[in-house]
Amino acid sequence: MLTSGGIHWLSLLTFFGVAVAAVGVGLYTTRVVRTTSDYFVASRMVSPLLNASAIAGEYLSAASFMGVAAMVMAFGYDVLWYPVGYAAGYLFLLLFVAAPLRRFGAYTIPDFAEGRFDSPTFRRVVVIFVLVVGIFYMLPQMKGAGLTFNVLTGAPYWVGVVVVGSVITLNVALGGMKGITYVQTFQFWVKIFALTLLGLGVMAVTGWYGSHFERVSGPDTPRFAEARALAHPPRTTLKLTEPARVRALDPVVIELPGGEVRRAAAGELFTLPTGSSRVVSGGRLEYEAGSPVPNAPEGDSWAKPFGPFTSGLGYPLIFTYSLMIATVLGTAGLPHILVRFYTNRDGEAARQTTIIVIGLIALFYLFPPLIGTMGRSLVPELYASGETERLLLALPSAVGPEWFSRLLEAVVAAGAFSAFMSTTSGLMVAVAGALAHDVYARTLRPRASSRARRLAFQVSAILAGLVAIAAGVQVERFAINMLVGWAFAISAASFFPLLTLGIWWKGLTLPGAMAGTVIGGISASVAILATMWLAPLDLGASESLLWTLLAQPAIWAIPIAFGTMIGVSRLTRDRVPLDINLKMLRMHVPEQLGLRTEYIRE
Amino acid sequence: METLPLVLAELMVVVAVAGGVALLLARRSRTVSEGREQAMLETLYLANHTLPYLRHGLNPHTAERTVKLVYDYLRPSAVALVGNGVILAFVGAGSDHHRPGAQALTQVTREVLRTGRPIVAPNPGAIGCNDPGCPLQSAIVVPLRVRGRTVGCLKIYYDGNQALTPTRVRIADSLGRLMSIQMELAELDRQTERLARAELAALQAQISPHFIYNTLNTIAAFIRTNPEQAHELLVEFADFTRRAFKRRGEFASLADELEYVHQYLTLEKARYGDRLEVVYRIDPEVLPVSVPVLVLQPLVENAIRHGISRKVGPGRVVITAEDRGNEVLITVSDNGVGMTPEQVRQVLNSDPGRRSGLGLANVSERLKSIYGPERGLEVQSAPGQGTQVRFVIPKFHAGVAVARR
Repeated sequence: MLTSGGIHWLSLLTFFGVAVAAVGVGLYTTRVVRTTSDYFVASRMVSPLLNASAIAGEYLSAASFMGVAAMVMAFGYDVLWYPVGYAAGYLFLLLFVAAPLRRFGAYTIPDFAEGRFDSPTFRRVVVIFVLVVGIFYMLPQMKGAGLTFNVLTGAPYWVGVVVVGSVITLNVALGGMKGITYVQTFQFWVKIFALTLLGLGVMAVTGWYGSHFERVSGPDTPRFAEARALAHPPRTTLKLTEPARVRALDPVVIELPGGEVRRAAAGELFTLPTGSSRVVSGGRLEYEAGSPVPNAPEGDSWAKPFGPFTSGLGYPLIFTYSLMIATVLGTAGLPHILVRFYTNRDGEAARQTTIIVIGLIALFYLFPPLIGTMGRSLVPELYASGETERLLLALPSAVGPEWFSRLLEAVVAAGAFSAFMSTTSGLMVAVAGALAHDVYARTLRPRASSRARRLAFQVSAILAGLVAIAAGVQVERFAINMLVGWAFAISAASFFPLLTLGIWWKGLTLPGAMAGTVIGGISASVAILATMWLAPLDLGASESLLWTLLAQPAIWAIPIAFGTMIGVSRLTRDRVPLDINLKMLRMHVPEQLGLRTEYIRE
Repeated sequence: METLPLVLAELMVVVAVAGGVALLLARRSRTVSEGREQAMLETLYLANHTLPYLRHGLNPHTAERTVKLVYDYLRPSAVALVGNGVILAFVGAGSDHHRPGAQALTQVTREVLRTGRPIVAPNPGAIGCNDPGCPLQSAIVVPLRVRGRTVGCLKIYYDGNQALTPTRVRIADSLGRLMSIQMELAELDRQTERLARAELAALQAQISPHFIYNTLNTIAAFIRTNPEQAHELLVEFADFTRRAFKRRGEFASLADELEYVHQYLTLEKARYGDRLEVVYRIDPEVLPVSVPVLVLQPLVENAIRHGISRKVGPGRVVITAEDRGNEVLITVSDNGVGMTPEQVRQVLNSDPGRRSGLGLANVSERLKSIYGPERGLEVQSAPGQGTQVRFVIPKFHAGVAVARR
């Protein structure tokens, strides 16, 4: 444990306080509106700024809030592809997918699948992948929740997952998603306020970003500025590029790089040599001021492409491209993103919203890289224990007076909870909606009353929450953004070809679309599950091309899905829907032409 | 639109007749037969003259005119028309005991009505009349069928076996078919009329006469006391009627529907004053959702007319639209006088005789026909407890585009 331990009461208060506040915002904004003489519907319509905030709020998850900064610190500037991909993916979604789907009347991807091909069966197939992507994307949120809760209270990782997961699940199940647009907006501003305050606050105390960057991007390895005591649990590996002077605080047993075992009595001063040492027992060590931080990536490579992030891989270029493809193309297939876009009152408002969203996302991503850099400069000890993901919560304690640290930390805790809550709630509504609507109401019990369907939604939400919690407990060892990248890869492989060809190519047939979606989605899912299971085994296969392709499947799974779709569609030419031209018209004719004052019904 | 089936049916008649003529002409070219030509001419003549009568459907009056015409032209012993097992008209020999209005007496008639196939009865035994003194010797009985159902039969009696020539049989058969088509047309006429009536009712449901009358009276009352408000109300009313009349298409956005309701309520509030309070609880996310036009206003009008207006003291109408993921839940509740379970049943029963529930029944039927039988209105009410009407609309429904202004 890095911090002094003990429960951070103020942070814990804001951590859960923000949840209560969010529910309050929801209740307040959907409060009873008594009729007045004003033009009430117009006044109830959501303005583009508000809606853009809501979209950004739902989109920027724990991965963006905590994960990007932590990964920048751990792996350097390679990781900037993640925020670039997330932002560019949104642009792609808005430019090529959102408007046609909105004109088509499809609120979700299953809606599109059903409407475009007139096939309820295909809808069910797509729903399965919506559930897979939704659950997968909840995992990094759960991971962030467990981690944050652990830092704030010292409780084990799984406790945080269970507590935070239950709070969010119950809120969704009990109808706490009232006024969701306002809630998401509120949470966006909490998040961006927290990051901005942290970034500016730390810089105000410790100096401008440039000075930090200069310090950490040079050839030098990060060093402890002053003597620092760290507790390494047994089996921790301490990798050093030059010898470090340490004092054992307890009796310590360490296996040195040559295989020799070094025993040190409490209070004994000794040298850890260059190379990888392994703690056997009693890992409380005090590093002398100026000694290098173990496990820290070297200065040069950290600030350059193909640095520590991909250096263990044989094919870093393929890995990077595949990651970029997944993050850019996967956004459109995330189940909770598309819906929010419909709150715009018309096409023009939608375009304004788009511009504002991109501005807000850009503003948001300004800070995580800065914070990651300052983390390397100010709290390098996180490297030693492999706890760089705690960066956001550890950074405040490195600056200023105690009260200021506590304040920053409390604000960050609030932002973190907002991040888990907004994204997880949105996903849970989408997943529970798919379960209740498609699985229950349309397949199992088509004649269910609206009350029964309501109950089905609540049960589905709890079910989804339980699955997310159970799976979330298992993923502690994976970096938040790795998990997110995988969710994006599955989404990209299953839905991106379907959306692109479905919207832009008349020749796509039902068999083609179904085959492509299934093959793309299954191959990406299998590759990722294989990676997740094989990664901890440390097979030493990371140099192989197969390993890179399994870890980042987007680069091959998407072309396979495209190829299948086009090939099968060509073979089943006669299955092109008869009213394809009408459908294309509905998707592509701009609203201003007013071709659809009469609504088309088949 | 509604006249389309009618036009089609008339076309069918023309084609059938023309086809019949063509067929007969074609046959004549092979075996030129005096008899066939005669049969064709007789059939066409009769069809031409009976058409106007049977076009009004099968009843004693039209049956009598038709039977007389056939009797005069073909000169058989007797002609009868039977509908629903009752003799509608009878002319000729044996009319002493075969009386119009009585049950059909003969075996052969019952047989034709049961099987729907023509029967040639060559002797009295085959006719099976239970009056031993019946003068009728032989008969040709052909069914009259409307939409695949035998509704009656045409009987032509002759005085001996030799009289039943193939030509006469063919004439009877053709006559039966043509009469059937005419009656089918009559049925279509009636349906068109029913449809038009239903349409009219729906139109009336858009702006109820009560509402127009009451609103104009309210405005009249304001003209002296508060001319400014009277002016505003009149403008509002004009705008409301414009919206009501210009509505086209089946779907509109929920925002549009709510604005229409809001306008309606502005006018109602002018009349009820403090007695009517209206509360909206609308999730902004659902405003762009497509809903069938005029699903909301009839519910609100019902809440006011049957809930609030009969209540002593102030009343409140609550309109909610709740975002439920893939669906929108819409409710209209009032704290008015409420309804008994029996009244609820009546209100949801689309019995045009009871005007009171027509609006709700209309909305419920439309919702069911668009979204499926389980998606109609749910009404919850008890006397003195107010009423809540609720329904759920899926945000996406195959074929329905997003409504936009």
